[in-house]
Amino acid sequence: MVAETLRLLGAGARLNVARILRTREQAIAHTLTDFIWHSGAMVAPILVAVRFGHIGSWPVAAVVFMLAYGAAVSSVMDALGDSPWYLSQRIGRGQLDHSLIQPQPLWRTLFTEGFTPFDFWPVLTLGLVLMAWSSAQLHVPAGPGWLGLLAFNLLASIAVETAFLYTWGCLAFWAPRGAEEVSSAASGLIGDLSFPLDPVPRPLRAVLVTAVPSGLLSWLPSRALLHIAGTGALDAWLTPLAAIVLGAFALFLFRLGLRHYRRTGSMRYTDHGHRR
Amino acid sequence: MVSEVAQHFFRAHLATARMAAFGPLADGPWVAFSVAMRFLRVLILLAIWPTLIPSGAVVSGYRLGAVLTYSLVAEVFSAQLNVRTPIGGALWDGAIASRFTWPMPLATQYAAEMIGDWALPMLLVSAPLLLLAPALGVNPLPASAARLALFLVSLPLGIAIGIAIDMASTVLIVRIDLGPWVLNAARAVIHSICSGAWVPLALLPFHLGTLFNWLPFASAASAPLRIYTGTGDPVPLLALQVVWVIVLAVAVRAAWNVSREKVALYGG
Repeated sequence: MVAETLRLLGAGARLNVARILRTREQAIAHTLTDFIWHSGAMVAPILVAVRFGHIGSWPVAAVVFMLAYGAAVSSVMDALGDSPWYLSQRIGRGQLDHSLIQPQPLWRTLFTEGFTPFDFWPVLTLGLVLMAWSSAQLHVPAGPGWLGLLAFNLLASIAVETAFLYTWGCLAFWAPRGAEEVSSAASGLIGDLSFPLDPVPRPLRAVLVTAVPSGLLSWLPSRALLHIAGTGALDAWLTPLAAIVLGAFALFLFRLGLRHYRRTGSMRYTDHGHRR
Repeated sequence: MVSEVAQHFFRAHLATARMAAFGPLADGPWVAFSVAMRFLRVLILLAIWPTLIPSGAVVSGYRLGAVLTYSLVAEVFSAQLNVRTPIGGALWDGAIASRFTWPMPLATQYAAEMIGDWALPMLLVSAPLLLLAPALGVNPLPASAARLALFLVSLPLGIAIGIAIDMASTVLIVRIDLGPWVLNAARAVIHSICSGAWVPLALLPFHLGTLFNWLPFASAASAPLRIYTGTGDPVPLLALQVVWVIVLAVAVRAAWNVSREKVALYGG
């Protein structure tokens, strides 16, 4: 099982390299614009933090850490393929059938397809370098335990975003036309969070770590890892806990939706193949 | 005869705008996502500013009240301050081919569609934001009646500059064969830093704002907002906007003329 999954990820990586080498100019343009996009999203909040020396109780270096953490999460999400962003579209258009007829489990198809590790390494590198720089500036005792917790939180943030997108994307099982674009709409909602949420009113903050868990993609884990004022002792475990809960909910919905899909199939096409 | 043609022209564009206005409703309640996103964004910004600018303090010419008004009005007019026509996407996916058969000029078709696209967000986000502003602790009113009048001159100029920037991006899509979504992402970043639509340029460090004030991005967004909030001298701001409209219109038209032969349509 593991060997086959790794083989498919390797195939994705090879295809990624081949595409870069065969379309060098476009690959450079894409990598450059992607780098500008992700790194540029960090610039404006950093400029504000530099101008004022802080944002709330967050010093500049902590703001940099938070944004770098978010960039690392985004780049790994991008490298793992785009199935979470297009799930509702694929279900709505009946394209899930293309995955179901493949001679392998559906989870493996969704996990391995579109794996493009070489497109997003500049952003990931930038994120990791800035996290290292900012944690050094903040004199964070970055021992093996702390690094393990950081890696665990990064994985949890990725799981939270994936689970959120899958949860909404599953709606297309029951509303294939109306909810066809719900995954991309949901991704716009969760988005990258640019500012620390500490000054935000408590009810809004509660929304941003539960129903729309943007806060779990960078703010809450960074706050816990850097021990910003007001952090609870167990806060570093909140994102992993949320990942488990949201992941289980997304899995439950997906299985439920798939059961429905097995009975109804795609409702987007007539028997003659025309789109309704 | 002339009035008949003009009437037809107007009705055709009105129909295009109406289709664009009601288009998002076809997606059902999912349109609420983008609405919620914009509310969240402005609420976060309004919560952040008081932690940076103490009440009563003046930072680079901005009081807290002016910054809050600036942020709120920037969100209310976000579509007008960051103009995006659908032409780039249509060029990329081939939809533009059928538009050549429409009995209307291509440019005005897309302008009408863009204006139609503004209707629903205006109704669902902009108007409620203005009405809710006092409850959010923000004074949504302009600095004075004269400033409001000048804002109404500056905003269309800003929109014209935005359309020219959008057309320049379309030329770039044609020239370097780049997907519009990729370029849009890069544009979004440049816009968020250089235009002043997100953070007033005067509040950027290292005197970056002084440099960015001269760029067309600032004329498209920061200028109308500064006029509205009374944080900038209207005469030089309007003069620079006029200069950018003329320069960009001439340059983009020339660039399009030498690039149109390179247009290749995909799609399917």
